[in-house]
Amino acid sequence: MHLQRERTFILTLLLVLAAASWAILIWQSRTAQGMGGGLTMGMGAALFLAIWGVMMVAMMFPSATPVILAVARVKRNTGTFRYVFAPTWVFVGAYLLIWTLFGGLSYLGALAASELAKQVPWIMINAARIGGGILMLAGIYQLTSIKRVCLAKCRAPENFILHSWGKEYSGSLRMGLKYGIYCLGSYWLLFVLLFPWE
Amino acid sequence: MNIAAMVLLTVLIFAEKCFPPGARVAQFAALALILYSTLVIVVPAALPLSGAGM
Repeated sequence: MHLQRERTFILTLLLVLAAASWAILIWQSRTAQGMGGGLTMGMGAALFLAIWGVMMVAMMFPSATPVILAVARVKRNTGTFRYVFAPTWVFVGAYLLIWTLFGGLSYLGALAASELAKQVPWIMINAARIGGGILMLAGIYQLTSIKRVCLAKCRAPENFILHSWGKEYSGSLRMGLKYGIYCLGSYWLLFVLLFPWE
Repeated sequence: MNIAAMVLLTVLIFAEKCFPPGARVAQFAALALILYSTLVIVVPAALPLSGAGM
């Protein structure tokens, strides 16, 4: 398949997956309304991670699409693959893996916070102020040098896409993990903000 | 989970990552977060909390 057609196909698939994920999130938020159950919304680990994965596809695919298409182009230009489809999706999978691992940590964090809130009434009474404190931390984090460096790498990953090049799938895997880590470094605290919201 | 918050965050991430002045957008978001968090700390009702109170 010609690269242009392969990239169009990859782009279409990314957009369809993102749109389907938004549909699932909207449906899920309607059915889960008023369910309570604390920060994990009463979900078991498997369901939480599944919804988290859908959320990552919905929220991160739009801004990752230009990079994913750039990966497809680089894969073709370095010339070891006849078709760029599979190595490109290895990259996407590795990127999602980083976000899913973060989802697992978030689940444990949410469980611990919910449990702590049951023990310590002060937390329940001041829940909104604690939420405000996390918002404040997220605002301050935006101005730190860690955020600046991660965002710069996340915005312009061409350098490390070219440098962490491997000839086989392991190259795609390594690139996807790196890209995921820089984007996670940029945005992890913003995702923590989603927890306290109604 | 709040769909409006997710949409807002998605737009912010897209703007930071894909718009030319993305670093400026991040600073602007920092200012907005700090102002809003100050409001929430002073007036806790400004943050709609999830059903379980937390």
